[in-house]
Amino acid sequence: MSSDGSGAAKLRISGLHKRFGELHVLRGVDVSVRAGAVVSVIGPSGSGKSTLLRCVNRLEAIDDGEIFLDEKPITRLRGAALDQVRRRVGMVFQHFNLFPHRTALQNVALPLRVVCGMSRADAERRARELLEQVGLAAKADERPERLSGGQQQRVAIARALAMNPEVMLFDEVTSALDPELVTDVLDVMRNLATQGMTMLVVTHEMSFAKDVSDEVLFMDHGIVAERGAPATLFTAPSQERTRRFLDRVLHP
Amino acid sequence: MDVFLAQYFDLTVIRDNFDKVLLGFWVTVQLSLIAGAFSLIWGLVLALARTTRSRALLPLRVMAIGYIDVFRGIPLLLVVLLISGSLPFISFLPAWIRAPHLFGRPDVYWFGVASLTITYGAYLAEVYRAGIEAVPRGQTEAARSLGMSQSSALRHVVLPQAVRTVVPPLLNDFIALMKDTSLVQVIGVVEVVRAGREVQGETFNSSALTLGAVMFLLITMPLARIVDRRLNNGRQRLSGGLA
Ligand SMILES: Nc1ncnc2c1ncn2[C@@H]1O[C@H](COP(=O)(O)OP(=O)(O)OP(=O)(O)O)[C@@H](O)[C@H]1O
Ligand SMILES: [Mg+2]
Repeated sequence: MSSDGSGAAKLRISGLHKRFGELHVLRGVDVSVRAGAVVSVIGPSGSGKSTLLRCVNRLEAIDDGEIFLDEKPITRLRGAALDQVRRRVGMVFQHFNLFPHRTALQNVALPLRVVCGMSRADAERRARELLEQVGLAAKADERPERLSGGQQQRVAIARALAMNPEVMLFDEVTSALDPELVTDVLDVMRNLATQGMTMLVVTHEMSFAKDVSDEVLFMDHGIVAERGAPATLFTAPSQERTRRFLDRVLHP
Repeated sequence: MDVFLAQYFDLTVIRDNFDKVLLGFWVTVQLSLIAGAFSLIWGLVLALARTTRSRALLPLRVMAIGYIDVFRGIPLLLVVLLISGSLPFISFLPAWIRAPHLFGRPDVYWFGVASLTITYGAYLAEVYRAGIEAVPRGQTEAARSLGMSQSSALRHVVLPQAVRTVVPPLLNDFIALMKDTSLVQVIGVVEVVRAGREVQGETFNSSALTLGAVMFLLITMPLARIVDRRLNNGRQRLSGGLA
């Protein structure tokens, strides 16, 4: 189950450092995700989880370290080559970030037209399929403001999937949602995992991390403090700080 | 009271000079629309230069900042005088700039359009900039994470949202521009105020100017209502969305 060694890594992060001015947010992070594997990242607020994901598709500049996609370094790519890599790495955000001036369908169709150069008709046909896949065919023509948070997040997932990404990054995608809406989104993610999508998931949903992940990373103060199979990490963490964190989130 | 009415609302003066004032107003409308359209484009160009984050375009950004500061900071009348008084004598400029006689209009007409565009381009650039900066960062990030280039994200995601939010202030500035066209008369363009003033000089009566004022109001008042309505709708949508 361990992500190191067994099989080729789809995504590998090696010795990653990130500073915001004086603040050293990532202090040498190593992660490796096999093709088709799901790796969850848990940890206290401010430990650098979002920053880690944002560095992977270079929404943040990287100070040191390397990121490999299919074992090819992508750390120093720029311009069109970087855009190309971003297509291969889908990202879903905590606050959805849907385009508010466009309908659900157009949100999914826009990148198909702009990035993949599809015709409007083809893009909308494909967008409709994707919305169906996340259970939102009926909402295709609604603006985001008329959708619930859970529906918006599923549109955002469909939009990311439109680029046929090889890896998906999820940054606490359910933590802005009302509790009763979380399940729908998690179900979509479970489906994706079952279909063999490679996923790096930052989450506060411990049951999801436990059930779906191949590996769980516990981050604290900018390093991976502990890593392991969910069965071990959740039941018998080796580190005191992991234990304290789990105590707090599992028995609030 | 009668003197007041006679000075400002003399129907004979209004009737006799209606055509002349209307012709002047037509020039006012033309100047407003042409300079307005050019300012919309020029302001957007300036705003894009002003907001670029690209290091290679830094000089452009600095120039845009300088330009905007200068032309927001000096009176339009000064720009009108600077342009019309000296452009014709700068011999190395091409003739169409020194003495523009395009589409059968005299050079002063185009100097007026140029002055208005130069000044209002700077105003509108700041309006656009506010709109661009009001679009949340997450929008660009979502677009980029899908593989859109910086320019695609700008064009398909940021600008459509920015422009939508700045329609009311843009209309406000259009009203201001329309009123400011009256400054162009100092270089000899006979727009509505100049037309009214000529009548005033001949008749010692201001009723033609009153007529000009009414013509202005027929355009500016509905525009102001549209601005109000759009601002209200925007606020309602915002509070509805948060509720
Ligand atoms: N753009 C930025 N500029 C400066 N500091 C930042 C920036 N983004 C993040 N930080 C800081 O970096 C640290 C790590 O932030 P990050 O968002 O990665 O944490 P996180 O683990 O995702 O936390 P949370 O669980 O609250 O989302 C925090 O101290 C945060 O304040
Ligand atoms: Mg975070």
